[in-house]
Amino acid sequence: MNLTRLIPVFSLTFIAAYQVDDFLNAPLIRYYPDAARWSFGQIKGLHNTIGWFGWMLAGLLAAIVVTAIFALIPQRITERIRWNWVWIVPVMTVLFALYIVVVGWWIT
Amino acid sequence: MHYNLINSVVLIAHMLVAITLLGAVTHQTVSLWWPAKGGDASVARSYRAVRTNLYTNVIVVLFIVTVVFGSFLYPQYRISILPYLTQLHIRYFGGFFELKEHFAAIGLGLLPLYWFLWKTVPLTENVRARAVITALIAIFVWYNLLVGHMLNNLKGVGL
Repeated sequence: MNLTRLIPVFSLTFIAAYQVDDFLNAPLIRYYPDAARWSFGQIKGLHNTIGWFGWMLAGLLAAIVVTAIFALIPQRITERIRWNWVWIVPVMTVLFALYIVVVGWWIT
Repeated sequence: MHYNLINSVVLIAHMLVAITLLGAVTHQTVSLWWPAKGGDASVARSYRAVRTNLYTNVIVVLFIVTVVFGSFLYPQYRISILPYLTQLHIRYFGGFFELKEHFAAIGLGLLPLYWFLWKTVPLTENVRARAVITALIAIFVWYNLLVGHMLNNLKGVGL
């Protein structure tokens, strides 16, 4: 079984899921640097929250699940996929990230 | 004091690894987008006349190490630098940093694909995909180093 065929699916899912989770502001875990505490949800009274680790964890879990599903597809089918177009997804993800930051609270 | 010293050491290590990464990924990107073709033996041509795929594994390792160091420093940024920027009413610098964290995460996620395109696909295939993904990683590294340096100039996390 050729596992390298799964790599593009893993990468593309990770970056897309990361950015969507950031947009939804739904990190799987949060870190509160002022209290040096990790939490799965909001902790009342603590506002300085780092969601970045949780967005990456969401991206990682989504990538594992989607890649596992993709792995179930027979190789004779997936080997027909050409990856020439693969650059479009990261370019769109970067544009989405730019959009999120530009319309964010940073410019208010 | 002890914690600040650790931050200073990690920050310097973060910067040194990032600069090494910058050199490697710039070399690879320039050689890929503007390959040397015959002609004179100038410095510019020599810079471009390298075996581009040799850099791939080094870039992957350096990128991961840089992000790990950056992750360690991130909480300190949120405790001491971001409130400082807000106090000075230059909060938009926080936006520059937010894009830096996104570029770090997207770059991290792209590394397997980047490695796949350089190491498992013949160099004559998927040329555009390889070129764009490599350029994106180079842009991430340049942007992140410049923003990190700028923020550190505004207020460092160390001593």
